[in-house]
Amino acid sequence: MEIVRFVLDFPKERTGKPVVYQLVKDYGLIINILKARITPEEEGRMVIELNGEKNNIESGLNFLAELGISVKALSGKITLNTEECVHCGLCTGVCRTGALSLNSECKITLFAEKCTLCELCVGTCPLRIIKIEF
Amino acid sequence: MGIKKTYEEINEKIKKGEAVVVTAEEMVNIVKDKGVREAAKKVDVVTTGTFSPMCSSGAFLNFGHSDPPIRTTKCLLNGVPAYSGLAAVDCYIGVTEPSEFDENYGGAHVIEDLVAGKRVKLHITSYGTDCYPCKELDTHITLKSINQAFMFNPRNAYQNYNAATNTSSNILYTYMGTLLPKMGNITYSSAGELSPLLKDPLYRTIGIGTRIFLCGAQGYIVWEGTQFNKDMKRDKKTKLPEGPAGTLAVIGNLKHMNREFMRAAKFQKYGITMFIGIGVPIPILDEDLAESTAISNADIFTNIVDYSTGRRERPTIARVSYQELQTGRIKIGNKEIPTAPISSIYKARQIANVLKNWIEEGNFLLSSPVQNLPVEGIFKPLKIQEEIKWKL
Repeated sequence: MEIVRFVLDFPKERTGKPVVYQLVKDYGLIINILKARITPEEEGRMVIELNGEKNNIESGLNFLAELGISVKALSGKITLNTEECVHCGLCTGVCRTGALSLNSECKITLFAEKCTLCELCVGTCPLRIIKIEF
Repeated sequence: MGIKKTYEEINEKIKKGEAVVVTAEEMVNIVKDKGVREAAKKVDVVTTGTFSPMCSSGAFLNFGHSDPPIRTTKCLLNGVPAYSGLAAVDCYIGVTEPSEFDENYGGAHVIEDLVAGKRVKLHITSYGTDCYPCKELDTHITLKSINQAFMFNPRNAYQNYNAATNTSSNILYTYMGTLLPKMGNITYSSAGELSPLLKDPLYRTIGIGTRIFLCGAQGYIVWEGTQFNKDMKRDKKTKLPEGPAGTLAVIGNLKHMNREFMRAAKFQKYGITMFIGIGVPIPILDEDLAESTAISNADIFTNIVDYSTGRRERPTIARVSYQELQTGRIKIGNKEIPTAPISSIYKARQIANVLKNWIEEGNFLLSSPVQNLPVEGIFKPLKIQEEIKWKL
């Protein structure tokens, strides 16, 4: 069993069709949707975590590729400009994983390895100094 | 005999470098350890601090006269309109005013850029008069190149602001930050036991003429702040208001301010505002002030209100202490909800310490209020009159 994260980019014509169901039913994968922005008739993006046997994950990814969905290993990176940060704490209110938290001195600390790249903090930060790049 | 000290006695000690100055956080522990009487005897001044987004803020600027002179009717600073319904080259730049060209830039950014020493582009237009013939001009200004630049904030330093949550199933973007659906989080915006107006709840020493720390400069309280609520119910013992009550109108020289203690901010889908840093010194004139300056986060309660109604009266979900809020997680019913501040405790603490140093070094003397702020009066709402709807 292994756990891996991927970014799926859906072309316009694929956003109307369900795919998660097949990944569960046909390939026995446990799926955690970390982020999804799918609107019918528009290009969509989904960030998922797949948990399952290695060959099942591979087959599942091939199935997605055949549908024209682009699959990329998740390799995003979160950064915080600590020089500029005023430690207001607003980002900690939307961070569900504790990647951004206040330490004992009430300063913001970033634990990048805990970040699931949901991007909620990016718009919430009033100084716009948190960046996520895919 | 109770302990009594005067402003004059405390200022004499400050001038001699003998005053005992502590921050509000330190005072909480001193009173816990030594009791109110000993603390009142020992401590002369308690410093407070807050660093929070405060939308009712801005600055008056005087550019100096051009040749030929102009009587400004419209003025843009880096593309941000500044109010010019004043004399020829005076204006007021408000922090929430957005740029005409960039939704992420506004009045707060102009003020921050000026304080950072940057050049700001000035564009003025006018209809022209016999005495002011010039109709349009473009130039650059800096904080040094203009005559006056003073911050004048009509409403800062709220006494006990509400905390916010969202019971709806949609995400809300507010001035209290991003509120996640179904009470996914709670945000709060006071510095708790460091917050100025929570430490002298009935404004005995905080009034018109009080010298304060304002964004790194020495400033003054000039009036009760706008929306000052004199009508709020207060706790019998601590005298703290149950909800948002007192506010301060403050003034200070922009030319002496420091970007470290102010910062332009953009709240997603809400707009532009500015973090303002304020510190107020409280003289310990007697035991009552020693007691009130030592009110701790455990005794400061605020309402968690639901921002999903879109109405003036927002329902209160729960009442909690700052001690609970600052743990980062509170329980309401069976649900554990993450909490997050909007106000920087780190900066508030820094401000209280800077003010403490100023006083210890004899660079900042205390001033007694020339007039006290009101504690009784009516708080008024606004009624919409549909029948007189403006027809264009």
